[in-house]
Amino acid sequence: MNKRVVTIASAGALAVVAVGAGLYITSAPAFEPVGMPAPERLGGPFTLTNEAGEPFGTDDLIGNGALVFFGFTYCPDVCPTELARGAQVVDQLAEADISVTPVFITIDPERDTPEQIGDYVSLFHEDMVGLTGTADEIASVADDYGVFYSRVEMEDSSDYLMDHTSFVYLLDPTGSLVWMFRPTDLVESISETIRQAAG
Amino acid sequence: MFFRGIKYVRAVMVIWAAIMGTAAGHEYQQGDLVIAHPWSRATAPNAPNGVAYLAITNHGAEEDQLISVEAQVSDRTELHMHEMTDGVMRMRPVEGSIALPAGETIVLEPSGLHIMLMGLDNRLVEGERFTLVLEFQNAGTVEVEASIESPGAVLDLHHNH
Repeated sequence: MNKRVVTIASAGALAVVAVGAGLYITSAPAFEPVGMPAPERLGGPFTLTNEAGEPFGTDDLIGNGALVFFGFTYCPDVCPTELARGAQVVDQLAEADISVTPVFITIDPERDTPEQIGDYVSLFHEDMVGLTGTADEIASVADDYGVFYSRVEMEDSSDYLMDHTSFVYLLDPTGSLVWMFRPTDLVESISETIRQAAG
Repeated sequence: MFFRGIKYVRAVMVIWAAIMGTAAGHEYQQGDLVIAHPWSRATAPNAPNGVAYLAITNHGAEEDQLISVEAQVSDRTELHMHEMTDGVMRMRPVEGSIALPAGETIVLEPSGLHIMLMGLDNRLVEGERFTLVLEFQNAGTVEVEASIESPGAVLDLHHNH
């Protein structure tokens, strides 16, 4: 009998907590989108080469949204952080039935072969597409998207690093660039911004 | 002194691991320095480079310097710094050493200061560990184990103390 009283009391306490949580959520401030609308001069169709060595481009992305990242596989610090964050966004959106394809485009086509890129992107998300191309093709896409990159030679080393801008580009289901996120934008905020844009 | 220090660290590690029951949150003490949670990221099969991070707290009254790092898993290492200027991420080797001011914690973390592992012998596999040897100006040499986390892991070492 005593045990039953305790159970009822617990249920009552839980109800109070639940109502409290509900009030807290409804009183939360309105959501502010993160990132910025992409300037009209940026974006455009592209066709590059995927992990299998086959042509892949914006035509193949039609019907889905896409999150496009520029980077290089020799980069062990910033690029993985960005791609792992992107994968989280894609998964959060999938839960809301919003299909977005993560796309990684190398700015280091000299070293990033299709195979190397394939190994790299599969670390982050099974649906992630990894693209490379000739130096001219990559330069052209980077120019269209306003991506700055430059090769940095290292002293006493045959290795080199790449400086690059690290915005994340959102393409709508027609393949048009609509929005840009900053590397500092939080995963939850990016997901919510896309959710609202898609809603 | 150095070897006694290492033994002490090992003893602390064993006790610490027993208390925590987990590989996370390991730390090492050498002289006035506490080195918290060295960690790394899993890499792709043919990735040439990897990365390692850790936090160093200097409990002493004098500044120390992290002079060099050696890794068991790569040909060589470099200390690198990321800087964001005008939206462009630039990665550069750190000139000289990393200063460890008295009473402060220096955190090596994603998109900031980090240890680049150049020329990996094998891919780094999540869940495994490897040895890093840190050389300090005053505290001498200390050997630590870095735990390999997921490829894009971001661990926050700012609140470990």
